[in-house]
Amino acid sequence: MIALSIIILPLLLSAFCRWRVASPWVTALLCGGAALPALVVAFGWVSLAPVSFGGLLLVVSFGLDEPRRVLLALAAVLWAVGGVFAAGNLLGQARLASFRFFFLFAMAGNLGLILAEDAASFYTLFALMTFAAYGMVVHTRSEQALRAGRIYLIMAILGELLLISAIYAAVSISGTINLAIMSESVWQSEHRGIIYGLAIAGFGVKVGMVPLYFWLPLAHPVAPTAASAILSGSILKAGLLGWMHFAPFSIGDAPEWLMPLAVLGLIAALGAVLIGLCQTDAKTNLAYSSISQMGLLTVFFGLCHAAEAPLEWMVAGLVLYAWNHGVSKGALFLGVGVVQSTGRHARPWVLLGLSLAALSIAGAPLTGGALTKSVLKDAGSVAPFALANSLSMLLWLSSLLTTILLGRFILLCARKPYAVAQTAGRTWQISAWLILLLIMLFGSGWWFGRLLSNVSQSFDFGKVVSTLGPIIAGVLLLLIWVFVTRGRASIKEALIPPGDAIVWFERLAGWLLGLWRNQLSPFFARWKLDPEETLYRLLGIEQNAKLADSGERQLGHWNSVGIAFLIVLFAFIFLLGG
Amino acid sequence: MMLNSWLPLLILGSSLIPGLIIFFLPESSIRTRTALNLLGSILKVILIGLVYIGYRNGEVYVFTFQLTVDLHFMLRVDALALLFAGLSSVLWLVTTIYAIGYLEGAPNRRRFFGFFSMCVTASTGIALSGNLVTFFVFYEFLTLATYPLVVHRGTQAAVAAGRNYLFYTIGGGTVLFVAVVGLSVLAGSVEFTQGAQLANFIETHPFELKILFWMMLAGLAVKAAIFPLHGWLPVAMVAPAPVSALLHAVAVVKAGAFGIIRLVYDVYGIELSTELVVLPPLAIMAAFTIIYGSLRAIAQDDLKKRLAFSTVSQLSYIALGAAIPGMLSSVGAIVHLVHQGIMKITLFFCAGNIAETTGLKKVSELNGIGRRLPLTMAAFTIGAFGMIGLPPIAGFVSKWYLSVGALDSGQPWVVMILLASSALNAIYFLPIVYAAWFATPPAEGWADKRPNRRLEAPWMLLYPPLITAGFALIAGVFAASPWSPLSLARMIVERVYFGV
Repeated sequence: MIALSIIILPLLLSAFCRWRVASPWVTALLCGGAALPALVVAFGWVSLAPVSFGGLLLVVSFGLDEPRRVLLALAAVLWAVGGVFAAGNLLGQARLASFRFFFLFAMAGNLGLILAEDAASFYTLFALMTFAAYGMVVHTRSEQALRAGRIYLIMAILGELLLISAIYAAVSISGTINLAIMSESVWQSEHRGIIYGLAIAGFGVKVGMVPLYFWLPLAHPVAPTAASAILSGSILKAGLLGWMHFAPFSIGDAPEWLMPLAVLGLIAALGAVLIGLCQTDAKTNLAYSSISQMGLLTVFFGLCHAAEAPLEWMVAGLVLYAWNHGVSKGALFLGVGVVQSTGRHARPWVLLGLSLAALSIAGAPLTGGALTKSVLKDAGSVAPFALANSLSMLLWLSSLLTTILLGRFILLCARKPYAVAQTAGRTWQISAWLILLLIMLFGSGWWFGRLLSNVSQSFDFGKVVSTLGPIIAGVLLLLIWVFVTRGRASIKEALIPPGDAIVWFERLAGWLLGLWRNQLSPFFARWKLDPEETLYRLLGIEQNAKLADSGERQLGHWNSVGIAFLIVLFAFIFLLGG
Repeated sequence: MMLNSWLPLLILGSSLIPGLIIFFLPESSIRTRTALNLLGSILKVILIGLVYIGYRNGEVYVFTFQLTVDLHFMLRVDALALLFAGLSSVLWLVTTIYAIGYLEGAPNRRRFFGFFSMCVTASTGIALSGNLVTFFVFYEFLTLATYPLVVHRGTQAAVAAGRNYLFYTIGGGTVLFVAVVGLSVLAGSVEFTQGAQLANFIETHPFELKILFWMMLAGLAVKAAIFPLHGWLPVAMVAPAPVSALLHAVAVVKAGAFGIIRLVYDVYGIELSTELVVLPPLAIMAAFTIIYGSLRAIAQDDLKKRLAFSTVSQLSYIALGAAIPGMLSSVGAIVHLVHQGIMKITLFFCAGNIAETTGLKKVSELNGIGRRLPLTMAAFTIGAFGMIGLPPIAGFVSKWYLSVGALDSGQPWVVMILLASSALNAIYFLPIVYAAWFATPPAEGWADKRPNRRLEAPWMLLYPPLITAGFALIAGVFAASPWSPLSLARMIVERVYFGV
């Protein structure tokens, strides 16, 4: 029952989304409070027994294991904190009811899909999250928001189609909708390549994998800050969970998947940083950072297909990484909102908080990032030598690049104008942000202890220094850059438009649409190439239609129809009986 | 036991008798007519509910009447009959309420409601028919009963559409007639025995069986609007909204689809159909119609016309499912009979509401309509999402069974067709949903006319789409419960395949 309440409470609360009391308490209680059952379950205050509902959908079952507990905690924290933040951030703004509505629906989907253990409810809740999040993306209804929403929606539908075809195939092969059994039979079948490929691509849209990431840098800047934090922090991770459900973890190796995933991940991990550095908007910068971080995660996910490390290490590595990136990136996004609503005095403190979050993502010593990266490294170290080596090199490089990218993000924030007047609802935003920072500081260690309790964590001076290396290098490079440009904004406009290659696709689509509207459609109209009309002409119905007016009207009278009916009936009986 | 054989007749009578009385009532006696209509439709729902419970407890309901020496008029209740009869009776009740509200103050209501009742009598008759001859009688009766509804408005366009409709359906009926006679000559009085009767002739008359299958199919495909016999459907849009709703969701098109299911499962049977290799061509025709209908729907700006082409597309899901041998796809086909009905009727009710309250008929004019008609557009959104196949709405369940069934029988191309159709559905439905909720309404026109009532539309127009949208949601969310359309469809299919 508790499982169902996690999903149903947000849906029920959405009934109150039009509450017109202009107090931030309403939004905070509705949007933040709806995540309470999930928080309670995720942090283990109430245990969740596996449960099935025989009458729902195609028989629904829910449950929770330790790795998914981390993801549930991440989602619950971000939705709760995001709800409280939105209470201040959107105070007194237009369309608050609409925001609450989509927020609560997307929350129900996001929290529920983590609990789902059957394909039908997983897909249902995944779709609910995806489509409800559209409402948050287009919240401002500005032209950019609508464009971002359009691209988000097209890519989401593409993802859903790929995903559902993978699910259909898996269900057909396994004869069950239980996710665990399903993925096992998929890996024993001859079609495993195509089914897994479809699943990877389908969830890849959410993860922001190359080349399916275009919606990310467009949607994040236009969505309200709380929504961006949730998109990057939690909704992206739903794609990772999907990957994990389909992955061959339970049956062993599938080394053929190492290379494709590693290459795509590598392109994202490095390429996104370069494009991100060309951006001038802080939230776009963060979006590219997310693509890069998820790329790193993709590399590690690929490695899990060939590594010899124990299963629990690899899974722990994936979810801990997701946790750390989720809370830290959430803190960075919310920080943008805090920067915009605070004045001169608070600026240094806000930037300090942002730096902490940035360092955590970059993997500086003593942060959650360092801890999770050490898990990745240890899990990878049992892989074949070349792989292990390249992973630790990549981790080093990623630390360096992330430091530079997020350093630039902090510079962009530092340049933002100070809030002139006391912004209403500022307290709500700052408190939510601080809570998230605290959770970020202490959460990773706690989860590490819980997931990998048998691994003792010793303080190794050499390790600390080695993780410090790329950070220091990055900061130095950044300082040189600031020195050279003398701290002025070096570029006025993004060198590469946000969403990069999508611009070409949009141009192509625009051209095709123009071709249809201006050339083909008039052509069909001029030559009357309407298929049905042509058919009527061929059958001669058009000409006869003129006759209709005179005689036909009488057919409308029931007598004639009744007589006609009787004639047909009698003729029929006569023919058959005779 | 006497009652058991009279109950099917009583079910027919519950709409036939009120219909006949309405014809003889003066136009002005609105109250009596409304009371009769509602009484009849409520009675029908109750009766079918009773029969359903009885049937599940193992009761047998058969009514036979000897027409000539070897010709029986036969009504028989089986699970498939109950499914279709249940669908038409429930939706008839809802549509009756809607029609009373919709036609308030319009002329010729006597004629309208009379034929409306006839029409439902015919479709229940089709559902309950126990043999091919009875089926044919009601099938043709339906054609004649719906014609006056199509031309009801009496405008030039309506009359032309009606003529078009007759042209197609009478033509189809003639072909069907010849086929029914042919089968009867071959095998005597054909009952729905899952091919047992015809299987004896596979050795001696394989060619005749094949020809007769295609002729029957051609006759049924007109009403089921399979390409290229779908031409009447988009034009018949000129009819009043409740008629379109009923035509598209229950009565006419469903009669065709239901007939195809009877033809494949009960007249020829799955084994015989597979042996005669008639199913693959049917599957290809249905698949083509699915894509064709969707593509044509995209090109329409008239809301009702777009919905009409969507019907063309969605109906062929049923034929496609029937054409793929295998239990799951059969379940998908049969359950879509119901699911498409409740979703499409919702969409047509909503289109009617939009036209009634704001006068808008074009998709391009619907910007911001969600503010004026929030509940109507909420129902529309549920229906549209269901059509796309998004969970947890009923359409998702149909697509699930059809796709997994197709894969089970080794035909992955069907899944591609279904997914392409989902994408195309999204292309022509999502812009409407988007315009309704996210676009800015025009500065003047309907937008500044706030409703001065408490409700956004008269309750008789507002509640029917809300109820049917609720059905679409419930049928999806509680699909696995024992009383859902899905469970009934599974029961039917188990009987088809295992003869339980």
